[in-house]
Amino acid sequence: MATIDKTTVTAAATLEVKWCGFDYGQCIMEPGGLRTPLVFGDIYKELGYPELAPERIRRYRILKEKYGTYSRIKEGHRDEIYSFVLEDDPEAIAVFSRKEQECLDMGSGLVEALEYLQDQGIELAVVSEMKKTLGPVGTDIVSRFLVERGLVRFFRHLVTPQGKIDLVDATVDRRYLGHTKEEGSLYDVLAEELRERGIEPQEALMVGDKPATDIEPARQRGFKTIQYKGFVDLGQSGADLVIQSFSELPAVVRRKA
Amino acid sequence: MSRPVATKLIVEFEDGLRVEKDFADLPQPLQDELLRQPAAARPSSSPQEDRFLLLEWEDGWKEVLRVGPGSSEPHRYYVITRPEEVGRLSLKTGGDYPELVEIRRRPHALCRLSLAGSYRLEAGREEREGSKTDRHYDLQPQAEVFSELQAGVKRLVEQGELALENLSSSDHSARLSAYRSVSRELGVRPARDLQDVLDFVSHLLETGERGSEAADSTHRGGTT
Repeated sequence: MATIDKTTVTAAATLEVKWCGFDYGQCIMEPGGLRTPLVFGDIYKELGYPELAPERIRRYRILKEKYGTYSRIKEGHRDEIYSFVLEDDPEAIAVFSRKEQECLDMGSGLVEALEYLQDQGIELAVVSEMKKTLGPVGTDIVSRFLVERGLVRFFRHLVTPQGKIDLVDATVDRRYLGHTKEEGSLYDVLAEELRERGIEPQEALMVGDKPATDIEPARQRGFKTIQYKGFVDLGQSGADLVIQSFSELPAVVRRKA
Repeated sequence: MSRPVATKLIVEFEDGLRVEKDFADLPQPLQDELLRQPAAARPSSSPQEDRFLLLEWEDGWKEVLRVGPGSSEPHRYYVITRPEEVGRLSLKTGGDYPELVEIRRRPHALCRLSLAGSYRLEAGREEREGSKTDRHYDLQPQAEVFSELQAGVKRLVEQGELALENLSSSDHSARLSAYRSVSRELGVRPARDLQDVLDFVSHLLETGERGSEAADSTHRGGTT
């Protein structure tokens, strides 16, 4: 049952929208299977250097202490995973990229919820604070996750501070370049782009786990917001609704006529 | 096993000291760790006599592990599921990366730590990620504790219960004797390395003396 400020309500509290953006990390993608000893153990066993795994694990944990959380490392400092942890070893980097994908899960009830929203005629997009990627468009971890799990049938576009990436033809709309969710300017650009297509901010919905990047900046710009707490609970926010599973979405979201 | 047996470990220090130890006298985990380093790799002269365990996972992953020559058949297999509690203490270094210390002994019961000042640990916020929960502790500054330890060490020296030369002796039994005196008096034990405690005692004595000299010179300056 969806909740507002921890008070259980009925499906009468329905959000009517034409567009819905989803955050990536700890939202549609759950990293629970990405256990550090497993990932680095497998990498170095596969490469034939099992004795190196403990030191690499230690360095990855040091990197977490430097930046606070693993998601912050992944969003903005992936190059340091390659340089500090993997010592710029191209073979280790390649195996690491593959292992990451293997260990990632999808949020509970996600596909069924996306099918419902798509059937409703609601346009869907992933909105990710991916500040830095290495390699050509489409080779980043978010794009690969969406492609490899067959989610591109729901999400044609990936909106990031590096641009809006078309996951089908790999073109990039660069008007988003340099704008971030945390600063809020990414939502300014998004709101302007949606208006060009006849969608007002209050007809758009943002679903994410982080109040500071997914909820508050979007809400302040008139977007409707849902805080997803299925994987991590980052505290209270001004979100319109809180859900614990994506399976709750069909009861609270519908296409605006 | 038919792999050649290691007989000796030699460690050379930059000051020219060379230490030798019979390999068989090293702790087994250390023997295993050293022997799996690529530089120590020695192939088996009769692999047909060796015993190997092949492990296979549902995802197709396979691993090989050499087991003892007497291993004959599996006895039992079980999986322990329990919360693993590990304290992670990161230290600012002024460099690009912090230092990370893992606390495995009763991490929730750690109540105070001292490093350039003393801090009391108070339970703070909890953060859940999937099935994992991080419990953060706030660091509350409080009066430093080193001076109390310095006084304890000085007492030991004055009472003849601690011979200073034993702190840096090359004789292990002398170092152990020094450690036992300090441990009885101060309740301090090594987290990882006995020499850390002995060097810490030297540190307390040296910094205590320098503190006294500075106080004396200030006093002398103030009375002129």
